[in-house]
This record gives sequence, structure tokens and C-alpha cells, in this order.
Amino acid sequence: MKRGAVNESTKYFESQDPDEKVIAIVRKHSLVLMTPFVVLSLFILVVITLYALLDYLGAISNTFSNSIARGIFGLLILYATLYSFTSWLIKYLDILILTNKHLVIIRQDGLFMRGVSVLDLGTIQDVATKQHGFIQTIFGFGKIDVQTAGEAPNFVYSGVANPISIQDAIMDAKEIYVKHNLKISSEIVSAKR
Amino acid sequence: MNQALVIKIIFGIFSLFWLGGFLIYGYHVFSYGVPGDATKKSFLLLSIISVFLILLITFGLSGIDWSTLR
Repeated sequence: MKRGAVNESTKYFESQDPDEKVIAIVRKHSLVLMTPFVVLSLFILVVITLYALLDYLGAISNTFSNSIARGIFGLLILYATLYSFTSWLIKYLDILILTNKHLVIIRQDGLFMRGVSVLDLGTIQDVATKQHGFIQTIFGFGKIDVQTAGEAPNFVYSGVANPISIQDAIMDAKEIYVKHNLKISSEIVSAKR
Repeated sequence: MNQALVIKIIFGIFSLFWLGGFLIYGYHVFSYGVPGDATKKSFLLLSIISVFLILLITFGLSGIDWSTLR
């Protein structure tokens, strides 16, 4: 599983308890993250080709039109760069944080469209994974579906690297959490007796 | 209104819109980035590329003899 550099003493999300340890920070697969930059490269290539073509055809032969064309094409690339970085940021800020108590799901659906769900590990019932298609199978990424008990909605996280190892990590963390809680409960019950 | 002013206003408006987008990007980086992630590096990279492109556009537009435009 590809995990971010996790520092146990660092606070990663607002509602993180002081004794809560971050096990893993999961982001989308690098291939998914790189998509906006691949599109940007292709766009720049198209813009440069178009400029060269206009120049070749003599459409921007005088100094004025040539300068204006350079300005317009430059602005196009400037906007495309910003757009690509923003697309990357939206994908990059889509994070799944697994701690020893919670599964924190941060969904960045767009600029100013953000949702944070904090799931108690005890409420997780099942974690399903799915790798669909040639590219996902070859590069080893897919989606994970976290099913929860009660009214909490199920959560689907797509484009994640090594979904099976993340599934294992979530289920292992859940098992440890449930066992720990059971132990505390039994200690409280025996103390009351 | 002369031609030179119209061109300058058009480029100015586009530049302001772009600057707005750039500031929104920065806001997201500093508000929602998690410790140790690559968001701040990306902001630095975007800034460097942008400065380079702005210089390139300025160089491109500097070829115009603005005084001849009416």
C-alpha cells in the first residue's frame, strides 16, 4: 500500500484526538494524479503547433499580429496551466486517513465543494474492492467501497493504488479497535461487580 | 477608445481573472493541505511556471509599437 509519510505526533485533521494515531494516508494513484498534466502537455503541443502553422501560413506575418498571437497563446497556456494544477489539487486533496480509531474520508469534489466524513472503525461492516478494466488491472488501482452500519452512507473511493492492501489495513485496524473496545468494556463490567 | 487601450484592457481583464484563480489555488493549498504533503511544493512550482509564462507573454506583447495604434 502506498502511504504518505506519516508522523504519529502530527495532527492531520481537525477532530483528531490527542491519543489517536494515524496509520495511513491514502491518496489516488499517481497515474490518476498525473492525468491533468498529461492533458496540459498535449494542449501546449497543440497551441505551439497552431502558432507554428499560423506563422507558416503567413497569417501572423506582421509584427503586430505576431505579438498579439504570442500574447493570446501565452495567456491560453497560462490558463491551461492553472486549470491543470487545480484539477490535480482537487484529486490530490481527496484523501482517506486511517487511524487507530477512525476512518476519515475527505472528498474534494471541486473548488469550494468539500466534504469530510469521520467514520468510527466499529461502524464499518464491510470493505469491498473493485478493479475494472485493462488499465486499472495493469497499473494496480481501483476503487474501494466502505459499507457502514446504521444511517451512515456507504463510501466509495475511486482511483486508489493497491485497493486490496488498503482493504486489509482497514479491516485489520477495525479488528484491533473492536478487540480493544471489548477489552475495555469487560474491564468496566468486572470493575462494577 | 483607441486600439491600444482596448487590447490592454482585454489582456488586463484576463490577467485579473487568472490572478483570482491563482489566489483561490493558494487558498486551497494553505487551508486544506495536510502536514507533509506536496501541496505547498505544487504552489511553488505553479508560481515559478506562471512567472516564466508571464515574462514570456510580456516579451511577446513587447513587440507591439503601442504608439502607432489609434
